[in-house]
Amino acid sequence: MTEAVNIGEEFRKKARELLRKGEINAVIGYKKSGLPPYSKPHIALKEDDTDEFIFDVNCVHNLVLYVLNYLLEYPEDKVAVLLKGCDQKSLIVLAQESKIDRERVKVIGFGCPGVIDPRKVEGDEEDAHKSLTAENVHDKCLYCDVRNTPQADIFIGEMVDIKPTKERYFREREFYGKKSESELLDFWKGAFSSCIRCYACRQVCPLCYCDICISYRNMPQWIELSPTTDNNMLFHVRRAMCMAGRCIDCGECERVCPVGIPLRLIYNKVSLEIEDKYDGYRAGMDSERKPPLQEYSMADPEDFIL
Amino acid sequence: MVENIYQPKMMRVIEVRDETPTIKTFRLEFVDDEDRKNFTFKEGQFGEFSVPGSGEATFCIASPTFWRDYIEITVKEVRRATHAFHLLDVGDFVTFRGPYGNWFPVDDFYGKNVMVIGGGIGIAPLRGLIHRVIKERKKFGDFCIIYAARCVEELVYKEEVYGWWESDDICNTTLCVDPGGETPDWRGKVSFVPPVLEQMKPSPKNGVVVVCGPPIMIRLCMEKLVELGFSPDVLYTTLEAKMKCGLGKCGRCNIGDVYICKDGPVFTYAQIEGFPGEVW
Amino acid sequence: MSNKKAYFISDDKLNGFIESLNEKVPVYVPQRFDRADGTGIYTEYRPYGEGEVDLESRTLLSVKSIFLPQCEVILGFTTNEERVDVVSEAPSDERVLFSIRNCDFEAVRRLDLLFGWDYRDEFWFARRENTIIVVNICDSPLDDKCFCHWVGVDPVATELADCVMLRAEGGYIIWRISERGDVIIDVLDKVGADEVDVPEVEAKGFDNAIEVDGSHNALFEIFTDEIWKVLEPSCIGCGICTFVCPTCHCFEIQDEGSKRVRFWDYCTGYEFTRTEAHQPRPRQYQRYRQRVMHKYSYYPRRFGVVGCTGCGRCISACPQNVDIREDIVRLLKRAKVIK
Ligand code: SF4
Ligand code: SF4
Ligand code: SF4
Ligand code: SF4
Ligand code: SF4
Repeated sequence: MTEAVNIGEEFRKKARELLRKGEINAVIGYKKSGLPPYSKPHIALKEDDTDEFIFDVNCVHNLVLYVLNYLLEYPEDKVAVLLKGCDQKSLIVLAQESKIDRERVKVIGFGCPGVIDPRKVEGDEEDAHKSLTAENVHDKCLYCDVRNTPQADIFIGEMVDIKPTKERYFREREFYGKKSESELLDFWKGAFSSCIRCYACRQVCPLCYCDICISYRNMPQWIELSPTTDNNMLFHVRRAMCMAGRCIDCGECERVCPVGIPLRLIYNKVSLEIEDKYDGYRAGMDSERKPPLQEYSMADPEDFIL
Repeated sequence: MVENIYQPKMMRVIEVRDETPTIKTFRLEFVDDEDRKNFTFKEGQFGEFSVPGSGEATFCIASPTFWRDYIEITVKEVRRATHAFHLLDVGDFVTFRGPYGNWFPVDDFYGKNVMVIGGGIGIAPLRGLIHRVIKERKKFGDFCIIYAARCVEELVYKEEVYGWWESDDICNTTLCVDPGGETPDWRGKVSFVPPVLEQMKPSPKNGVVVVCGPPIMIRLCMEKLVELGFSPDVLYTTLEAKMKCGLGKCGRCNIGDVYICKDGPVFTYAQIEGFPGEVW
Repeated sequence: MSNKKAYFISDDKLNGFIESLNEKVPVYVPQRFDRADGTGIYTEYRPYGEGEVDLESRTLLSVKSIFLPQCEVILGFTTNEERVDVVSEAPSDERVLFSIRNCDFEAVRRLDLLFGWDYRDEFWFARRENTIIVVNICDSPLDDKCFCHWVGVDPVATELADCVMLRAEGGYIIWRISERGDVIIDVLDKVGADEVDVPEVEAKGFDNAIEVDGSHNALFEIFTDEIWKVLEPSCIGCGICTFVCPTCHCFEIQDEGSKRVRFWDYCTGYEFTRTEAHQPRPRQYQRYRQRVMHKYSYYPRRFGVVGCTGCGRCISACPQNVDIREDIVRLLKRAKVIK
């Protein structure tokens, strides 16, 4: 496994420069935290704030969420943001959905060596978070094909050249390949019985931006709010519908879930379906290609419509 | 269990009146005589009402305290619970918990000049107070009502309001609608409330004012009245907040150290100025 | 049985002991659960037998869930043509809450003030009264996230418990405080636990406290300060910190079918105060401010105690690494309470 590229220094310099020139109002990146996964999002508004910026293998958070929230609050501002290749895909989706004005965002890209999956080393000492190993690396990085942030406005550091070592969504293919329908139902019932409906999975997702989530709409009431297994299941199935053709597999929902429900198993399965049904479409890969569920074409497959 | 504080009493709808296209008034009576006998409340208090199965909602009791056999509530249709109310017919059941909260200190208003300002459905919590003042008219000084709505159609309790308007000997009533909301035969004012106050220049001497309406209107009226020399502690309002329990437990209506359901909903402007913020 | 005597129960006998106790009175005890995909674990207070007993880690959810379940039916409707009847049932069975920490115990007592204030919430108090409490006292912090000593909680307090237990080499020492604790002592007797002396307990490792008590008015004064806008930009407004918190009591009430249910709700979320007409807290920083201020300023101003008992759960569970201690220190500095 490769050590983290050291782009921290260059990023701090760049961030300072951008804020000094005044064309950018805020720079969003990561800073060190005292708690696992030992980094947290950081927004620099002044030049001096930039000293805290770092980048290492613990920088798991998808910062596009913070770009979105910042621009909703200050729609006239411009922001620069450090984006891993995978996170950048969600920016593309948001731009496609006209939720973000791409002109207002300066993407700072770099060659990403991969990040850890904090859940794999939960409870372990800080040492387990120091560098990437076969044990702690995030699944998504094993099949990543966007390591050098695409569509970056500024690229810092060296490009990396690491080929995928696993098939895309290998975990999901394996999981669904082995299980019968009733086994799957049991699995998900078990998993959702512990969901506490904290909505962290929804809140952390940059693509879950609805002002009022459909789970809170009650005219009519689609989903009941109390956290029973059935209601939870309904909430998640419904969320999977929202994510179809949009999820870019940054893995944030799964990371934040306090009770550890493997949510990517759902969304990646949906992505596989979309890829299969819509001519290999993958969300956030090509800003020119129209998202299949947002346009109508006579050639759309309709075999799934009853 | 000794007593379940969330346990409501059953009531029955005995009359439904359309006020505006989205607002209806319901007259309710207790199903059990025992409940009816034991029930008392004061002007400005509220309750948790519900159509069983559609969730509770908070409404102030919009009828005067001296109507002994029934109470009235006025409901604007917004979400699930209020929608269910709008589907009700005479004879249907609703549940009620209450009365909760504090009230307008009407006894303290005796001998004073009373001014009541309502906006839109904000007249509902004031209706009981207005009826009381009219009933005990001699005990109060001057009595003046200003009632404003977005447009003529949005005026609630139209018949009653026009009745007050015509009885100059009882109260001095001003009706207004926002610019653009008037109809060709509208005889009231076309104006927002603060300019009306500016024009009327009510005397702060021996006066109390009760305001209720949309948050922004309350704030602007309060500011105007203070400008006219009223002391913030004679300016009363009743605040609206999302509430679930009405008992000071669910935490939603908490602003600063105040729980609107327990310490309110009636506050003076002086009290509100002591809140950290988040009122309007 | 003398008041002075204590019992030693070794780790290998612990499960057997809890099992015997459970046969007499249902026991709620922290248990480990494997996550659905096998990555890591979480612990929670559940009826004995659902998972693997684990008394030494911080539970994900606090004991709040034992007294105020995340979701409970508060009444039901039965409808016929003539009338709608309302029926409600009280929780009534006696049970033992085994191995709770003083932060959680104190939190429950601080919540008594709220649930008993003016209207008495009988769901809460029925459960309070039917629960025998065995406190597992902490002679040292569980880990670096504990900060009960900042907020006036004594980690080794024993007086108000029914029984007290303390980690010792290879097991636990348990002794009785109140009469209600007898049932536990009886079972200890029966399973042949050794008699030992009640230990002298001294708390170690609770250093560097920032005294939070008494600063509620100073915090109230900085409500409008600009610092809130930049304090915690990384908070995403989920419900985790409030759900895991033993002193967060906010709930929602909804009708579902013919039942009226109440379940936890959280002030850090957008929906908490939103009505169709009005949203007093439209910004995330305002909602985070509500959480911090309610705990450290409003609650003490209203009820005389800080609405946080320093259990550290919000710190360990926040997915965006928000550390409420850091924020409190920054706020107290801003309010000029500390330098
Ligand atoms: S998926 Fe790719 S871009 Fe994303 S963290 Fe892993 S290696 Fe980096
Ligand atoms: S983050 Fe986990 S517990 Fe929270 S709502 Fe999502 S799935 Fe449920
Ligand atoms: S502080 Fe953390 S846990 Fe709490 S709402 Fe914010 S992000 Fe969620
Ligand atoms: S605020 Fe945090 S530390 Fe305090 S009691 Fe709640 S969860 Fe524990
Ligand atoms: S207002 Fe917020 S911090 Fe206070 S108890 Fe409710 S959820 Fe917890």
